[in-house]
Amino acid sequence: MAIYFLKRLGYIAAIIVLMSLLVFLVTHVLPANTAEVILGEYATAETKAALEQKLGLNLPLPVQYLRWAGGLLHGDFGQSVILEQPIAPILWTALGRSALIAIPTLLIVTLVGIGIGVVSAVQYRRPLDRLTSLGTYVAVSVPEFFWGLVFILVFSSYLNWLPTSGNGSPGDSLWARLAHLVLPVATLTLGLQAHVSRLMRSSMLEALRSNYVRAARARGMPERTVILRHALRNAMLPTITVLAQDLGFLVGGIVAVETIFAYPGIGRLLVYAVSRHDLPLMEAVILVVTAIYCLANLAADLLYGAFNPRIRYGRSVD
Amino acid sequence: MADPSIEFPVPRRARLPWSVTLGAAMLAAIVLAAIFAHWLAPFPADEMHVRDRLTGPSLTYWAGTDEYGRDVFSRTLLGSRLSLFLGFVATAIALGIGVPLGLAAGYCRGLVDELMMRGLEIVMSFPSLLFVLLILGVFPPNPFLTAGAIGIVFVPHVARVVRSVALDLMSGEFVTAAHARGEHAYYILLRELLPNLWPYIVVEGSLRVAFAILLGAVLSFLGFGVQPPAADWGLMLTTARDFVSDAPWMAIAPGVAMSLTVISVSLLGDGLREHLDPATRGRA
Amino acid sequence: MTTLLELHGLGVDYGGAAGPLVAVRDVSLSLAPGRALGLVGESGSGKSTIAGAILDLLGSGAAVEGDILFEGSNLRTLDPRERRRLLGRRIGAVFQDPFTALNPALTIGRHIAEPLIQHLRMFPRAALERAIELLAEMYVPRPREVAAAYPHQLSGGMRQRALIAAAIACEPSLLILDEPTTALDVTVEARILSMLRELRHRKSIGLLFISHNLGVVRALCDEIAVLYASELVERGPAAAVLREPRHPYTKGLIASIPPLAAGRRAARLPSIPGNLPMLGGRSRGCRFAPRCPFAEGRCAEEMQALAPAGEGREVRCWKAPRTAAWPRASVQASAPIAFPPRGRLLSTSDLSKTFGTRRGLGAIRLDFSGKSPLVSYRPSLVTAVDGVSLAVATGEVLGLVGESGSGKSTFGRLVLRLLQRSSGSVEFEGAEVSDLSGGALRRFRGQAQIVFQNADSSLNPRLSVGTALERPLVLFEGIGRHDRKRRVLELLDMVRLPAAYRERYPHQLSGGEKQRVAIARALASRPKFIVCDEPVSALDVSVQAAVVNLMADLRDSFGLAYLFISHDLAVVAQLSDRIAVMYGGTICEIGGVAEVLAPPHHPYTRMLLASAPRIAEEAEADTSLSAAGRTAVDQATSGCPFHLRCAFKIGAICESERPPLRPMSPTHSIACHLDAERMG
Repeated sequence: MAIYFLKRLGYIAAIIVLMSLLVFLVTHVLPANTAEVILGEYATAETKAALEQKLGLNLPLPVQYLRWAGGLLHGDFGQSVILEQPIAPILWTALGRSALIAIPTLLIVTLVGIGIGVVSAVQYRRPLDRLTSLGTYVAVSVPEFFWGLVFILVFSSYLNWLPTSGNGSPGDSLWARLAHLVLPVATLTLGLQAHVSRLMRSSMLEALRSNYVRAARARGMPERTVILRHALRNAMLPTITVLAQDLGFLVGGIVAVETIFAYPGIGRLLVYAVSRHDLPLMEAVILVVTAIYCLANLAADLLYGAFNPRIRYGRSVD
Repeated sequence: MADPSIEFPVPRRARLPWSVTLGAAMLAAIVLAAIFAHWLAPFPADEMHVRDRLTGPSLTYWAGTDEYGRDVFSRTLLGSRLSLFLGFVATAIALGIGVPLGLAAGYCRGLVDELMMRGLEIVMSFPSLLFVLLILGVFPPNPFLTAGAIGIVFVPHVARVVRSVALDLMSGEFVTAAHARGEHAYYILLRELLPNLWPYIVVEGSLRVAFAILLGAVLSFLGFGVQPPAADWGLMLTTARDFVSDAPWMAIAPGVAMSLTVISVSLLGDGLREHLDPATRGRA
Repeated sequence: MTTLLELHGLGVDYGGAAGPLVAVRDVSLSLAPGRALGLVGESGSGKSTIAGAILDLLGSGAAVEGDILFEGSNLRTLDPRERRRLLGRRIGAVFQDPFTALNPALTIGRHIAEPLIQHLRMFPRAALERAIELLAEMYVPRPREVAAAYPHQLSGGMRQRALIAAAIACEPSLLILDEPTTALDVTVEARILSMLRELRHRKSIGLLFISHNLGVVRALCDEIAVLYASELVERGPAAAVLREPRHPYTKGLIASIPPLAAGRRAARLPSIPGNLPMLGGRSRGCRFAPRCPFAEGRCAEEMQALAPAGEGREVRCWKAPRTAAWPRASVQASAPIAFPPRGRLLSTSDLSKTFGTRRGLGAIRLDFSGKSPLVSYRPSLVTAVDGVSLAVATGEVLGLVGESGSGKSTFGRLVLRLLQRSSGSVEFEGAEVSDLSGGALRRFRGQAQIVFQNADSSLNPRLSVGTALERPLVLFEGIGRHDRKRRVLELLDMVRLPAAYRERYPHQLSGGEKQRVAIARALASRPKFIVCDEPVSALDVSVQAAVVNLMADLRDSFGLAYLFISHDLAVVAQLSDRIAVMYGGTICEIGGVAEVLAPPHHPYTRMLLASAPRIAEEAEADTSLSAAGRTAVDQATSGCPFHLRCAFKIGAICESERPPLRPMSPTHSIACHLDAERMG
């Protein structure tokens, strides 16, 4: 198992390096002239030359890459062109705020998604199942920013219970600050848990149809034991894999949700960077977020390994 | 012995589940509405009726008017074209690249497979939205570019599914029998494997269309799609946000339209997948 | 209580809106405590459905009628939870597939302890100890280690023993076994059967044993009940029924089982013509009538009922007392042996094939056990075929017998160049096969074809029969479309399928029919040599005989040579001229069929012959020859591949030196260090 972990870690590290290369190449090689893209309509011969000098765009590509990568490893993410400030502090603060949304969402999604999935699998084709299936269907098909708007409409305009933008001002009480999190978390949760519960349902159904469940029933195990000890344990495996994929959706969702609710997290920072063509900022944000995504996938891999004895114990006994 | 331990009779030709017919019907209606939008829309998309700004649904304006007095219903109808365009073009690109890649990986196995999969994994390591934003951040906005970027992001998903199914099929002895006849790779890929792959390609394709429409909408919602005053669902929802307390109907029409489109495609895809399941022992 | 289990008029109908789909029809039988009843039948007989009905595992789509009485109480009237509690506590069950019947996430010990904790309310620690004891009773070696292991770490035979242990953990009075040994090698099967026999006597458990294999049932059961197409057609004491069957179906079934003896070239197996009926609705007369050689008009009109036939027997046939023996197949006296074996069509010399199971990145191993971490590159290799030299003459059938892991299938594919050999050579008509290219390679492909075991996966489900048969014609015979169509009809006729089948798709054919199509496809290019890889192993016995006969007829009509690969010695003996016995990638014995079946034997051949369950003989399968606790895949890495399992091992020489093939006669060789007299 330890060997498995080390191998996966090495693999992820390699992927992160390759990704940084990809990000670098896209931003520095694809466009005809990087400085021109950044400056946009302000691009004149002089401004371009000044920018190229400042960002070191004249240096050969490998050198540029190494400088950038070296800086990253030291925690120096460069300087934002538009904001004219070092990127690192801005980035970490924004990341922290986004984490306040992302982590509760993940927890709720996991618990609720698994719960709904198991219940609807056990109640297969009966009213409860059909109802939840319908619900998940709608939840998946409607884009989260639409839900966001609906929530704004209902909870803010009509009911006026919750704030719909920003994350509060300094001096607000803890409750007031938390209130700003509720709607974004709810919006994200709605869409994501639908994915998880659908997959949980179908892998539970498959587990319930398997030969070992039949054998357990034939041994006279009560249905509850069959569901929890036999079916659920094995149905968790594909779900863990999908939870990892869901992290990708989470990232996309955070961007949208932060935009709707004007929440100053990393998603909004990214949108800002992309729309202003602030390439250094954009590169840094994308790389950091993707690295986190990879590490989260690694965690999911380990969890999968913990649940699957085939990975923990490979060798034969007899 | 081929006997299963408990024998269950397998229906020989199952009827299509209701979700397939419903989904197909809905999708057909939406596509037709998009094609004939110019004739079906009561008003042109950019015609402003300033005196009737921000009025609710009525007999003249079926879904109300927006902040410039433009008919929301007509704009929704006309806006469907862009979303559907994105959805189908992106999926076509994803399938066009992903299916051959998946087939090659599944057929060749070994080193070719490993390399291809590692390469695709790198692209998959990016959350889809980020990858598209990465590309869009470097170029000026352009619908073809958006469609292309979305398509490329989806290539690994398609390739993975095709590869799985292809690997499964390759273990079938009819492929070995083909080798025993000395068949060339082209024959095996096109005449033995591909006919068995179509159902899976259709199912995955419909899923991709749904995701592409959603992703495209998010992009235009964030401001990376078409620019105003074009009629586009994502764009309409952006402006609707600012007016949500005064004129909620501005959000409802495009939101419902988008949801219905995605639902119809998902119904179609899911129904087809269910149809395949008992006959071929589950999807890869 | 007098009876343990009683079924009264049990019926199961899966039908829905489309009409009835009766899987079990009016079955009544009884089982006394401590007795063993064998339920025998082929596909569609309903035998497994009966087990499912008793255990309430059929699901909501099945409509069950009739009564199921267990120890006096009617299971069908019990509350579902009561019924569930009865299972495991008083009734144990073991199913066919040991590979999927164990939860991959739980240890073996947990599986066995579970019913003990649930039904007997034992404490977990005590339950685990008892589980280890039970494993020891099943003759599982190192039971403590096995109990701590996960299912994927054990072999099939070991898993099945664990499942049996779990089934009897609570000392039930009835044990239901549904094809428990079908997925296992015959030597493993023999050991499990003898263990079951001993278990039964020791604990006086009643046994309901479901199988399609009459020999296995004979070895274990006191009584036998024969099922055909959802009905019970004959019942009685096992020895009597098998010695003297009364119902035509039973007669046909027994007659079509190939005897373990050399077949003559001109002889054919008796077989039951026609196909097994699909699960259907009502029919007026006897369900077997369409295939019965004794049928008369009355048979198709009247419903047949089970009638007593003396000595505790029952038969569902009004003609029963008066029917003769099943008709022998007519010997093809008219067709002289047109193509006697001669010359050398195919020969291999020291052919080997090694597979690497961990290659590339997967072969990098990290080793922390030493003082510093060691990174090593260690691919693991499996030698599937190890220096095999064989020859097949034109028009000859060479049988290749072995169990799983022997390398016989790999050898078959090597010979056709479907796999790259690692070393050695293969010659076809004098030319080295791996050197062929272009037109010569194409000609070879046309001349040497293959038929697979699993007809389901050897036909492309999307191609119609006609399209599949035309393809080789397009490749190998440049004939026009009209001629191709004619040739397709010829091929269908050769394999005795109606012309209308040209339009059908594989899912519209039965197992035997699919296999015939596969054979027709192989014949299309007019080959001289066909590798048959377990072609009849997946077929029902009654269908098997017909296909074997077909293959013999084709051999005689076209002078075909076969490499007939199978694990079933009897079938191989029926069709082959010579037999080669394979173990661990090497040939242990090769010779004429009669010579191989008679002493002197290689120890492995002896073990195979002793393990094969026989119908007629009273003697139980002799398992003393197999070392207890060894699994089928145990293979030595040096010396004789068989020495780890050999009961006749001499000593160090067996471990260090590979025995060469020593001729016992000009046509018979054995690879063993023993002297000829000791191989008796």
